[in-house]
Amino acid sequence: MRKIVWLLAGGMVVCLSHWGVAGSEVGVHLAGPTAAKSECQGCHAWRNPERTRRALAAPHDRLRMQHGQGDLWCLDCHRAEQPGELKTRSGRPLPYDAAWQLCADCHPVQITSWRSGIHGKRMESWRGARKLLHCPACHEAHDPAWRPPPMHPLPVQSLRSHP
Amino acid sequence: MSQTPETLLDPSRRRWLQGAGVAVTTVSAAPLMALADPEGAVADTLETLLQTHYRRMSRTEIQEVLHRIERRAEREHGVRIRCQDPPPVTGVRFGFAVNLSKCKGLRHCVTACRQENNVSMQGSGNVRVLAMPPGVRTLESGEVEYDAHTPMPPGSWFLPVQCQQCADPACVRACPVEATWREPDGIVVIDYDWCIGCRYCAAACPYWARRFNWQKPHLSAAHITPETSYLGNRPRPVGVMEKCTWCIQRTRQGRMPACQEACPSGARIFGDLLDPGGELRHILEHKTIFRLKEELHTDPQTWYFTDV
Repeated sequence: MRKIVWLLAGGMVVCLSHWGVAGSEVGVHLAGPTAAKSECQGCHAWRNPERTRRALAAPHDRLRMQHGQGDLWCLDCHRAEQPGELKTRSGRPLPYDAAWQLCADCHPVQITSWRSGIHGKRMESWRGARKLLHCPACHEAHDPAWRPPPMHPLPVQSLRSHP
Repeated sequence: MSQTPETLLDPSRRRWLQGAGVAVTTVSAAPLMALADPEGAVADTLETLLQTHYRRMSRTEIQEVLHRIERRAEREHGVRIRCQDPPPVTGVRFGFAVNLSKCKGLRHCVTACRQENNVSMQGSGNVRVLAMPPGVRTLESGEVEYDAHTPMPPGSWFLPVQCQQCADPACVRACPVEATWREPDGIVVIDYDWCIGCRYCAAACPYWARRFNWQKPHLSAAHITPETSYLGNRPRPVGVMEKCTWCIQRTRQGRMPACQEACPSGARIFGDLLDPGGELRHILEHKTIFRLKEELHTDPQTWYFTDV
């Protein structure tokens, strides 16, 4: 009897984890951070957010909100009822690791390109199931412009001088 | 005309003497060699000299050669490496695409290539990034010596260039000793031990993709990449050519080339051209693509495209 209970529990865990992997819809494995910001969760795990659209004042001013250049605010993407979740523009709830579906609402060209393996970067292997970085791995959701890392200097000898 | 004593000997006696001579030399030289050459350096060098072409070697001969390469690396560079010879992946033709809208000229690919492929610290590596003036795509107008402070006119762009792994490579035609050829998976390789260093291939390549080891490669033990392969990144001797092999030691084992892995902007796309659902096929079918110096009919297997 105990075995059966364990098996059932195990099965549920497996099902739930697969249900959570939104990447299976695009035939890819997603890599990169997916968690909600812990500093938000500190208060909003228990405190309901104020739902009126407004400029964020303290203590929210620590958040550098650049996305949408002032036209977007928290509850355009985050669910007020369930702070651990996102929502699409039409209101459909989304787990954090399915953020790309929310991104697709405004950036369909980039998402199409990403799903075909052109935008973003394929990880680890050129064969088998595609493993792609998901959007927030490169574009921080609240300040999404990609900032290039420093340029590497030219190697010692000029590449042009001797073939 | 007087006959030399040698020609006076009767043939059977002469043959016997020859055989005995060889036997005596071998028997007496072996322990002498062992004394004079305890690490086997001379023996290894001799065997490398007498070694045949890669494509004529049996698997056992190749295994011996790989061990010899490992020993030589330990002697010369003080590093224990592992040298392998992964065979071409069957049913796969490798290809490369570069998204020019994404390349920001950061040279992470250049650095990663040098590191992965054990390029001499005095050498330049097998990937170069050119800063291109607006509206021009001839390699000759590119500037390789740019840095973050170089003033660039608006509309300038960056063009990463390395071996284009041509399907009809000019370099292979130019080689007088067939030391370079195209493998079944599409990678143009060099047998460094067969190369005579004539540099004809470098002169023939329209993409400046081949580089000559003018000096014995300077490699620091701390920075050597120990996973190597015969046709790939094993430490090269002085006086031979080298080139980009799309990191054959990695890609034949399913991994990505070092330049793709290092690219921070995701401009580099590597994959199998025969995979109908692959990225490369999608690019070839949906993007406006071009190849470098296509008019030379070398049939490069590297395509360039933009986001537009």
